[in-house]
Amino acid sequence: MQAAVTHETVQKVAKLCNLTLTQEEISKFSIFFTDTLKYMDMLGELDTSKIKETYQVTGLTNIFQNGDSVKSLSVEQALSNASENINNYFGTKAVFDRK
Amino acid sequence: MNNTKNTNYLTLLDSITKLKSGEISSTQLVEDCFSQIERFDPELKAFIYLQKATALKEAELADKKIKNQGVGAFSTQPLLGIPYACKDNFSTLGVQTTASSSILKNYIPPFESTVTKKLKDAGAIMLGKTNMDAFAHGSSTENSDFFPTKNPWDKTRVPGGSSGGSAVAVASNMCIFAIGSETAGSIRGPAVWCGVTGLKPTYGRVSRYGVVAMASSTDSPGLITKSVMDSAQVLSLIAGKDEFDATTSPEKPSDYFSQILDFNIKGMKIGIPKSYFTLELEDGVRLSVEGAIKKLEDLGATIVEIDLLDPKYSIGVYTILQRSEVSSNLARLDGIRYGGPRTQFGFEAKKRMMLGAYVLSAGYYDQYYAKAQKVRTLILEDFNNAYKKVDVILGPTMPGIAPELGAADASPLFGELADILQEPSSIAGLCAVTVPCGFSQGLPVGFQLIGNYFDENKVLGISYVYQQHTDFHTKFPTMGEK
Amino acid sequence: MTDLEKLLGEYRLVLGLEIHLHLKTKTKMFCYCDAKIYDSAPNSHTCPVCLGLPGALPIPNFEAVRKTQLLGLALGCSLNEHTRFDRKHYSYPDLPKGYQISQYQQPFCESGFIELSSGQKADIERIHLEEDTAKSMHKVDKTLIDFNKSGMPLVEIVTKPTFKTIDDAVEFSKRIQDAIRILGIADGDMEKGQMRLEANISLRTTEMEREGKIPTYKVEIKNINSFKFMEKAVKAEIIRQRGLLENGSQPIQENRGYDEDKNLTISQRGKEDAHDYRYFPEPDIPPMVFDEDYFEQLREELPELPSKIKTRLVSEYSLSVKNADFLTKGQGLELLNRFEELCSNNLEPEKVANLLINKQEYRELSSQDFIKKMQETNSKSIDSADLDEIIKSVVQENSGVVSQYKLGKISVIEFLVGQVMKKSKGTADALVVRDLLIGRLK
Repeated sequence: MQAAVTHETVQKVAKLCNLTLTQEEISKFSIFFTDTLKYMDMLGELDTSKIKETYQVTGLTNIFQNGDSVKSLSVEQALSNASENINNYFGTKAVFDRK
Repeated sequence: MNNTKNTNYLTLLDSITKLKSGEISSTQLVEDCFSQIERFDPELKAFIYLQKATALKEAELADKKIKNQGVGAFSTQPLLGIPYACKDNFSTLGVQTTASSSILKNYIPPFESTVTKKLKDAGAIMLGKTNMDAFAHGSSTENSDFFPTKNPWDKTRVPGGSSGGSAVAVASNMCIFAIGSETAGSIRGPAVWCGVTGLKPTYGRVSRYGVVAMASSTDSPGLITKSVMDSAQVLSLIAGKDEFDATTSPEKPSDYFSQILDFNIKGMKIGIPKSYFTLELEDGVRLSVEGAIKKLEDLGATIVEIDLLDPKYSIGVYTILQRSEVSSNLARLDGIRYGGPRTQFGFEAKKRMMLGAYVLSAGYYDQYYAKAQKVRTLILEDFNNAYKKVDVILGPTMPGIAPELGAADASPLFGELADILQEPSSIAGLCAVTVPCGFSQGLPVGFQLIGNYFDENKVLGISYVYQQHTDFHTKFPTMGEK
Repeated sequence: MTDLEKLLGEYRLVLGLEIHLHLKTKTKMFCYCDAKIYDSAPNSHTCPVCLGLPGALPIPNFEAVRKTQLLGLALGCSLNEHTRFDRKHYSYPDLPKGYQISQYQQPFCESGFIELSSGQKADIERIHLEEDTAKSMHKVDKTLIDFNKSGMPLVEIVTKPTFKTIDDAVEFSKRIQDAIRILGIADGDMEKGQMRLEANISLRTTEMEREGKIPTYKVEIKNINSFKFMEKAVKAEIIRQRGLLENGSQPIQENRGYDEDKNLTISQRGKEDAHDYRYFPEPDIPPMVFDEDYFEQLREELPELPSKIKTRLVSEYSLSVKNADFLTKGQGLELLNRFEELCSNNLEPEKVANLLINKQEYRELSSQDFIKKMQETNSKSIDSADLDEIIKSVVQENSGVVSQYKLGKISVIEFLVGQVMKKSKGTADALVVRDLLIGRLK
């Protein structure tokens, strides 16, 4: 059985999701998580020790580009929804270099 | 069809016939749809965006074409002049595509989804974009970041979701047909609660390109129509391999329409899964669906009781897969290239992303994600064994009738529980049709036929025969009219 | 004792590399955008897919897959029959989808190696294919992003912690550059960002080295854009780690950046600690399956690689190892075809190689002119008795210069060489003259 999900875990996950949560949301999520995980834990009833995963149902393999055409958007189209267009660059608030 | 009624009440097939004969014009169709929208939509709120001027202009062009080229115009454009409603998660070039979310409220795609492009090429006219649960997260259309949509049969009830706007637009005759998308129940659910026909094609039958992704491994664009024939007609036009969607099948789509016209139901084996009926079903639902089974047997089908895995396991599998894929698919919304900041996400979207990230995070992958994908294998095998014995599987589409507005708030898994009978087939990527088969407490009830991969012919064929001998699909809500 | 040994003291270097390369393809990795992005206007090579617009879907580029597999074969890797792409999640403005399509569990190629001239075998762990991110530029209060590079096919070669010296790591990287150019799969121009290096560095004791033990930590230095930079960065990091170890503390596993001005590596911790990539198989791309027939076809396509060519040059042409080595790496590779073509005219290989390698003017000649000039020089070439005579007279005539030389002004030798060359009317070999003069003036 899954133990309750702590506020600390919720906050860690929020960071992974690039989300900022209110204290109220954190409390709510901690309860929702715990409830939802109960349904997921039901899967433990099924023996899957010899079963392989199915990641895709189509059975398709080796699907590639058709290769004979090249197409892009115009610079104008590409930037048409940009929150900031600075000399045809997308602009955002300064971020530190990760690299 | 009552002749005194306006043209917006016509089915797709009748509209085409009358356009061809010159009895009606496309302009008339579009105008009648807008009269209906202007009259009823302020209350029902099926649409979040309307383009009347554009639609009328396109109708005028269509009428000119029909006048100049005659019936021949329909050989290249089988839907010429037909107005339809589009769920707002299909990207439409130059037209807002919000997926009913605040964060995408101002987003105008610089490209067209494959489905809407194919419809455009076929001559169909988009009236507007329909409301949905934001990012398709929900089964009631109450989770729209803008406003809830109401059920035309009873305005105090939800229409189902996430394609609620499209189902309401069809049920209230605001359009001739509508497109929707289903991840697990998002077409079938609202179709059955609004008393119309819904088709969820096999995963990979219809391109997902340009459809705002919910759960990539189960998303299936599909149709909400006034009859099975209408679904068959449009499916032939939107199905097929797409060079922009690697998961579309290279298998050629049939001409579903002519295939079902002379469909022989005799000898068709219909499987009835016991586990789908031992669930707590609303009495009216059980009665109507049992009536439908009897009817199909009378029409010549063989009814076979079968064993299928308890659908309760699908809730866990579906929840894990869908939340994981949602957390991944919504990561692209960072407010730089389009859309608002991530603070604009609604509660439901945050909830799903969070849970998805949690089950994928270090240490939990095997316990949740890998486990779910293994149980998915069991579900696939389960169906595979069933289809060795039967042609299609029949069950209720929803365990109950449309609930009151606000019911979704009561449970963190409202949708997952409501859609329990649709999740197994969605997880497996099978095709399904839902058709109306009766009423309970004055609200529509339906059954679904679930077919094997690319067996759209069979589910459409059997349900077509059913509709030939019943009239539930011809009933529409009066919406206060006499 | 080498510089490196001095730096290391009683420790030994454990160095691994991650090499990123842009493949040369017609379209980008997962979309139909033109992949010729270099020197183009910002955001002029993008589409819904590489901009990560809602609903856009990736379609893999087979050309990139095949080129990755060719590289794998060339580097002695085994190719996986079952492979797939995975999603790797992290948030950064240059990553449009919030995840990068990469390969996690089933890369195209695994476990290869290159033999280095030091005699060491450099072990390759895996080679996988992924999409590149966009280019971001950091201004004072804004970050500007150009998505042209977003979605470029990016091959990543990951070595084991296999290098014991920086020289070996540099040689490995250069060999990779040679290999990709011979294969024609990439240009590897580091200045254009077509090739980038990351170094994983840790130190161990000699005892650990004897027992084959790898330290439990490693420090990753990212974004190395030249071999010089790599050398400096690794040296700076060795000094830092040695200092820590000698004080009894273990360096923390982290990413560090190299600051060239301060000649120090600087921690990038804090930006990395939340990393939990949440990999899962990419649902938008069906898995890939390849069979032995296909791999055999690839093997047949594989051109001869530098190490093989070198052996062949020595055995087939009796070429000196020095010249064979020159012709099979770096710029020398550009002369290789020329060399083989000229030798097919029955010329003496060693001479042809010497002329091509040492005399710029010969490189530009057509084959016919080359042969003519070579033969003229041969017939003209002065015999050693005559040359001795000329040298003797030049030494006598320039006694002043000679005494300057003997007093230690060695550079005047060039003047004397010039005089001899003049008298021999250019028929003598300047290098030979120089040696003879030095001998005589001892």
